[in-house]
This record gives sequence, structure tokens and C-alpha cells, in this order.
Amino acid sequence: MKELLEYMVKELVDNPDNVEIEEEEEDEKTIIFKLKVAEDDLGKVIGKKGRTANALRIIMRAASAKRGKSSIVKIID
Amino acid sequence: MPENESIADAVDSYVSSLEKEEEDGELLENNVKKTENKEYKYEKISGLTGIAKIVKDAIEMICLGEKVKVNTDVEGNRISVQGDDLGIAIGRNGKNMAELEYLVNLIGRRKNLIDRKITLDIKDYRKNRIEKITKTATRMARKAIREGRKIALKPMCSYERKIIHDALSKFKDVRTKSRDEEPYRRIIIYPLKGIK
Repeated sequence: MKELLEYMVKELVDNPDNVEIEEEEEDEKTIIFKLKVAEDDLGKVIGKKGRTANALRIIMRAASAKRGKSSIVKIID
Repeated sequence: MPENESIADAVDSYVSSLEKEEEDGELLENNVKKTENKEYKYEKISGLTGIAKIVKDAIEMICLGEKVKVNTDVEGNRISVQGDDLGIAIGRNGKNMAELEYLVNLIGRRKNLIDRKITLDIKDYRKNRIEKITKTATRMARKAIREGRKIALKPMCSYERKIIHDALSKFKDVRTKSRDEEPYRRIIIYPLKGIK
């Protein structure tokens, strides 16, 4: 699942080398993804009114549902 | 008069050579146009193929390595996806598919792969849905005319409402309007005659 988020975010940003994702298990079923991107790319992963961040979260929710889990995507600034 | 003849010949050959040059020029122009078109099309195809690869990779990752086949339609700016267990990639009411479509369009635009919006269709969900809602709307329009009362349809997204507005604009006896706010915005069909 981490690969999926990494893949999509790296396609979206200008500095793919600065993309960092930390995976943390909150409990058995919940995984938290802490997403770090270059400062200039923050707007790109968030989007207007959070539209892009929302889309990323929905896709991640779909992927985790398939694996019987739930996921939280946190964008660290 | 051999000399005269030769002059006439010379003129003839000169004129014909001019004509030929003109033809050549035209040919050349045609060729240029053709290659330009081809290149444009090639760019478009490669751009769409690039997007298709992203779609394929993303859906395979969402659906745990499910086998996915993608087809691109250059004329229709469409990418259609086939595979077995792709329900989760479509999502309830096509929600996940719509978000994925938004993301790949965003990526495509940023990378200059596409110059217009790409429609994503997984397992012909969109195609079947259009058929289904058009059919229901037509049936409801008939009902509205027959019973002489307005009929409200289920809430739908803007894209689906547009399809129905377009489809029902062909009927002269009904008028369509949308009511309420997103995400519960819905179409109301008004019959124009015989309102009781």
C-alpha cells in the first residue's frame, strides 16, 4: 500500500526524490501513512480545497479496504 | 522548319517542367502536412499510453496484483480497463473510479501527456451506467407525461445529470431541472401538458 501512495505522489510532484513516507501501525487494522514532500510540492499534493489530498485518501481507502484494513494519510508540513 | 520545332519543343518542355515543379511543390506540401498530422497523432498516442501505464500500475496496486488489461481509444480520449475482480477500483457509485480519473488527469496535464480530459472506464461501468440511467430517465419522463405530474429522480453526480438533461431535451413534452444541493442534487422532470 505504501508503494501505491509513493507511486501516485511521485507522479504528482516536481521533486520525486524528496518524497518520504513513514508507515506506522496504529492498531491491527489501522495504518497511518505520514507523507513528507518538498515544501514547493505541498500545494500539489493538497490541491485546491484539498481536492487532490482527498482523492489520494479515497484511493488509499479503497486499497486498504481490499486488504481488510483502514488507512489514514497524514500530510506533514 | 527544324529550328522552330525545337523552340516549340523547348517551350513545351519548359512549361511542363514548371507544371511538374508545381506538382512537386504540392506533393511536398501534402507530405509535410501528413507528417505533421502523424507526429501530432503519435504524440497523442504516446501521451495516452503513458497515462494508461499509470492507470494499469495504480489499479494493480489497489487490487492486490489483479491482472489488468488497458485499452486506449485515441479518438475518444478514453482508457478502458478490463480484469476480473476490480469492484474496489470502481467503488460505490463509481466514486473510487472518479477519483482515480481525477488523479490521472492531473498527472497527465502536469507532465504534458494530454491536452484534454481523459475518460476512465473500468469494466464498462460508465458505459453501462449511461445506458441504465438514460433508460430509467426516459421511462420516468413517459410516466410524468402520462400521469401529468412532476417526477423527482434519485440524487446523481453532475456528470450523470448532464447525460439525463441531454437525453430528455429531445422530448418536447417534458422539461428537466435540478433541485437541492450537492451531493443530493437531483433532477426533476416536469411534464409541459396536463398538469392536474
